[in-house]
Amino acid sequence: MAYVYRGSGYLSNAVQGTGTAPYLFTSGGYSGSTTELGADGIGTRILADGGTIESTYSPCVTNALGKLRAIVSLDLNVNALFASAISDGAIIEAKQCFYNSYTELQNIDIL
Amino acid sequence: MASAYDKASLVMLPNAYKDGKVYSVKPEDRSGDFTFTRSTAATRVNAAGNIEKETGNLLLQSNQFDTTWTNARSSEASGQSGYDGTSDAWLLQSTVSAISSYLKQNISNSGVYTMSVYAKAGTSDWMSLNTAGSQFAFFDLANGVLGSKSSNVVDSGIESIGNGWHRCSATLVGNNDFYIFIANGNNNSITNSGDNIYIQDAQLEQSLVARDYIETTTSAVYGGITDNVPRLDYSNGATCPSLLLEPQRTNFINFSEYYGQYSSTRSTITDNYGISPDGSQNAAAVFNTNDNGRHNFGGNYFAVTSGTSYVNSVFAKAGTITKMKLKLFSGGGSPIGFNDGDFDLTNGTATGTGAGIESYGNGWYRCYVVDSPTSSVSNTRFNLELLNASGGVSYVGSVTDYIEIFGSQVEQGSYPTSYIPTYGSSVSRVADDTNALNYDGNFNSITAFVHIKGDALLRDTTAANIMISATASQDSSIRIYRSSGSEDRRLSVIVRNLSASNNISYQATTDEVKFAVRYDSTTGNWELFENGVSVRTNTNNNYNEFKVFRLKGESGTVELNQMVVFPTALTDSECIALTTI
Repeated sequence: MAYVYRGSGYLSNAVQGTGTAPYLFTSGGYSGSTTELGADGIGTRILADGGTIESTYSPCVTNALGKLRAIVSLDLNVNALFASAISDGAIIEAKQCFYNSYTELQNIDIL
Repeated sequence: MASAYDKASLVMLPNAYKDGKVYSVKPEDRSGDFTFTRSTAATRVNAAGNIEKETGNLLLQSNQFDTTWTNARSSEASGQSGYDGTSDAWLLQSTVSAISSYLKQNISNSGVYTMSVYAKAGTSDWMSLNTAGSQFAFFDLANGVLGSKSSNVVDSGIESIGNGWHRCSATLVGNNDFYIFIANGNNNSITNSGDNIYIQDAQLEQSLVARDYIETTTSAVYGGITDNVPRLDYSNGATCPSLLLEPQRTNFINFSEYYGQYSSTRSTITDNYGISPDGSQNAAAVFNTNDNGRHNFGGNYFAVTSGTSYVNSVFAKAGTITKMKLKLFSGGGSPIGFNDGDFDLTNGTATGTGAGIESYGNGWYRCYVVDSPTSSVSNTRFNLELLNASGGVSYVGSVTDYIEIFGSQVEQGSYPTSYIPTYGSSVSRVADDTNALNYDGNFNSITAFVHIKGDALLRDTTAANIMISATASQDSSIRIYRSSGSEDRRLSVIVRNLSASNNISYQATTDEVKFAVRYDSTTGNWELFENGVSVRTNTNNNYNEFKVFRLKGESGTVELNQMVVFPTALTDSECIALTTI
């Protein structure tokens, strides 16, 4: 299953994914080339951070970004459900176990 | 149509906690979180499968050596490059020639302690850790080699951290002050002005080994499973945790890990020999001697009462010896009417009335015997006997033959509870308790679903482990606890109305069980589902709205995996879907 993770350094806001080009956005791209700002304004954020965006004007990149939006991230989901607990100092363990139980409850229909 | 998660008002699965709190994932405004109390430390089996304990650093200003610490013919300078890449190390330097120089902190404790500090050679290659009680251990910082230690030091250790740094430790019984000496050789604490070493992060802890460093300032700091920390337990190889709720227990063994101070017969003890179930190198080895006869060791003196149930337990791992016997008898060697247990540490089998064995991984087993002595004695001793390959007690031994042991425990009760470490005196672990959660989820009608575990034949009293009620009273309540029935003692569900009459009374048929208790306030209909099957029904509407939730270990041990509460009476098929295992 594909997953998403964040870049590092000045690309810390960038999103990469398995099964796609290793770097959708790199510092060594062609300055002035045709670019696309990307999903959720990621390109804007990279440019504002001083980064250079390699050409992303191609269907494969657009499609890849579209797919990334639908990818489920265990960490993101569990952390979102416990957002207020985490800000209260909660320690979260066994995220996969929690998510399995949570999914079971989500899959039981109640009238 | 909505999901069970969406329809539930209170969902506690559990996987989120902090000191004094167990979090529910619903409601999201945190009004369904449980406060949690247990005024003592405890242990759990963590996700890595290791027994996790309380940790701590009893020193003050553990890396602020110019405060609280006292110089004797020495000075210190901060801002030095440390073992951890910081500039938090200190240069400790002698200021007078031809005499010893040191840094010390006054502190007094009894029992087993380990003192440790990170150190690196300066102009001097050696250091020693001392107490005021003539206990000392020398360390060769240039070569990372242990020097000599006094005979009253249980163990010493030196671990290379890199870049010339080492973590040096000394374990001893009774601690009176913490000294760091600059040294110029093994057993040579005489230094000259300007001689120096680097030091960082000192720690003093109740343990046979140095554990992860904890920084302190003006008071001691404790970590791990300390007071009021809920326990998510992964015992028996579980991949998902349960909230562990245990009753109060006391370990009567004074030194549960330091075996070197017990009396041996045709056997010798090597402390800190192997990796124990807590993941540290603090398991002891019991070696045989070459003599002919019985090979055993034991000690401690504690009182037992005739007719009262006790559990005698120890963690053990086969070495070249694979069988052992666990016993209790009086200090004079007389029987007290408590059964022996024989254990095969290769096959994981126990023999003897009341004897049991549980795997803890990596070849370790917890071996135990449950019995009631027929005599009341004030000087009971535990005893562990090494058996030969055929299970015989008297034979010619070999000095190379051994088993490993760890964590002796004798507790009053009818089943073993989680390990209670002791380092010089008996220790009590009090009961786990969430206290009463007052949560108004409009539970006039209700469906309460719980997924819980508990072994059969384990019961202490009939108080409630889990209670959902209108007030703190058991009247108008749903209770789950261990049954007082004598045929078996699995978890039971009792639903009691405002007139103190039980409308549901049911004992589980399995050790791991999913219950759903359903009440429709408009009809007064009650129904209990167990593991996907309706097992009890009744009609009675003499109940008030359910608003109080409490989870505790008072009546015995319960492991809670899930609790989900709905403000409606779910349908049969919904209850079956929830409870099907």
